[in-house]
Amino acid sequence: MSLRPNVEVAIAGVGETAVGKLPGRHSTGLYVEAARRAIEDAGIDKSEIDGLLTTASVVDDNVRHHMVISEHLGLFCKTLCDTLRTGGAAFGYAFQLAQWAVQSGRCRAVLVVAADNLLTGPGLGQGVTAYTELGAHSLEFEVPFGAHIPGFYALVAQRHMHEYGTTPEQLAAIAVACRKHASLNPAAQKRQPITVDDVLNSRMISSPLHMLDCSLISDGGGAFIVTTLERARELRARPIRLLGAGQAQSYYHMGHLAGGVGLPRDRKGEFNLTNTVQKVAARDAFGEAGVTHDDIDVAQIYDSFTITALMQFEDLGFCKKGEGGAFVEGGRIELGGALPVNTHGGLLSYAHPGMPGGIFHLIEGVRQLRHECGERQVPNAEVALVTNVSAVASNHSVCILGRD
Amino acid sequence: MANVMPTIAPQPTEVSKPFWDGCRERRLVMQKCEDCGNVAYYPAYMCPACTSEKLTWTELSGRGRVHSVTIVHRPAAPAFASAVPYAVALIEVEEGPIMMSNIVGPAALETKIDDDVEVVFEDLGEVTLPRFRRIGK
Repeated sequence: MSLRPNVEVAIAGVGETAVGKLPGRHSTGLYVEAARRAIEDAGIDKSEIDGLLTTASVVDDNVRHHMVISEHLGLFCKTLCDTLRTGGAAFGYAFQLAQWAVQSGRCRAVLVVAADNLLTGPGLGQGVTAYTELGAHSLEFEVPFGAHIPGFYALVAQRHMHEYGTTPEQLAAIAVACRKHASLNPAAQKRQPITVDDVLNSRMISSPLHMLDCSLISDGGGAFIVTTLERARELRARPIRLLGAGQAQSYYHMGHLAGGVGLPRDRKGEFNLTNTVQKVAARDAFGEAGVTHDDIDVAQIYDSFTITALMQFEDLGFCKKGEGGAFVEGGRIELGGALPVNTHGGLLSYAHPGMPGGIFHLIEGVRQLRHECGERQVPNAEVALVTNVSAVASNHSVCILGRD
Repeated sequence: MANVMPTIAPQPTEVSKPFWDGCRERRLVMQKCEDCGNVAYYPAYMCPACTSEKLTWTELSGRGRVHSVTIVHRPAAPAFASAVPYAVALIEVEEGPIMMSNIVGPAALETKIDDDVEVVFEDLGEVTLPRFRRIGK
């Protein structure tokens, strides 16, 4: 069976649970709730779903996590079913896998779902430790030195500041924009507006990253359903087209990432801590979509930390390398600016339940293009760009969505 | 031990044991590829540059330069709670590879990118960790 690349795919339905602090909820229950809502939103018969992709749970893991969820959902026979281990970057990958499965005719409809209870599951305040003890990253060559994920991103931020003169105030502008947007989103976990000074005066976590430069820790989940554009047009919700997608992965270990280990000699220096392989994913996504940066009406940019988002404006090509700091200043990325970013509030203010974080960027991209975002709606949004990132600026996915 | 920064001890493997044994002997050793000259870190089964299996454990100078550094205020795990704030750094060793470690010793918390550093070995029970201190400080 060969690919039928002319078959366009679309998101036919989305759903999310409440987010924030959800004590007593089990991650599997959150999974089921998110999936049910996406199925209802699409108005699709469950028997039509023959693909299922999950991202497991840090709190309640299972080596065959996708089997547990498919049992709870009553999805007996699937022709694509797996647990993705790509963390926060998983949803662009899942979207692409679903795209290929649907284009080729191997699947009729693929359900992508993710949830976790990272805030209340491991015990309040234990989420970072839970991640560290998972082996994020190298238990032998990083964890012994007291490194953690905020520290890894702090090393990236320090290098970016050193090379390009990026300032803590510029990093803070991203947190301020996300919070402003969250203040307009009744579902967001943190809604009280903040200023640049609030970010700079918040507790230092790992220099230069303050507490308000770091994403939240949350409970919650989300889901979306991918099918052909043709089929989606027959269903309940307005289809949102996948115009183009790209992905790229480099390395987990920070020394390998910084040093470009394994790159041919003539490409050494092309990638390092501050030049990520996201530019490859962006090239493919823009290439497939056939749109330019000027066509993007709204962007949902993965924001595990402020530096995570700042570098992406460069690697995605919205500005030149080193100019991300200037790019995010002056309200450009706020509602009303040239490129509204993270209109739901992002991981910094909407929610970050761990693995599922990136699914909310994709769902928000869909909701913006359906024009159902109320006070935070970008007027007449036609094209949205969504990114997912994981494993410290090393796993990237870029999706470009279009209103049908 | 009172002033030594704690750790969550690494578990050496078949490929990394010579590295950790070297640390115990106060020698920073990495594998040099006999075919292309690449120095590998972390310990590798084959040369990640050229795929050769001819890797020879070689003692390094122990000197390097700070590629990036952060001062950690929120500990990674309870094991490090007594040590905050501490400096986590990426060190580019003279022979090429970039390794994660800590900066310890005088003025460690003032460490800047591009500072020159040299290895120091700290015994923590079963394991000896390679950490670094600033040169000329």
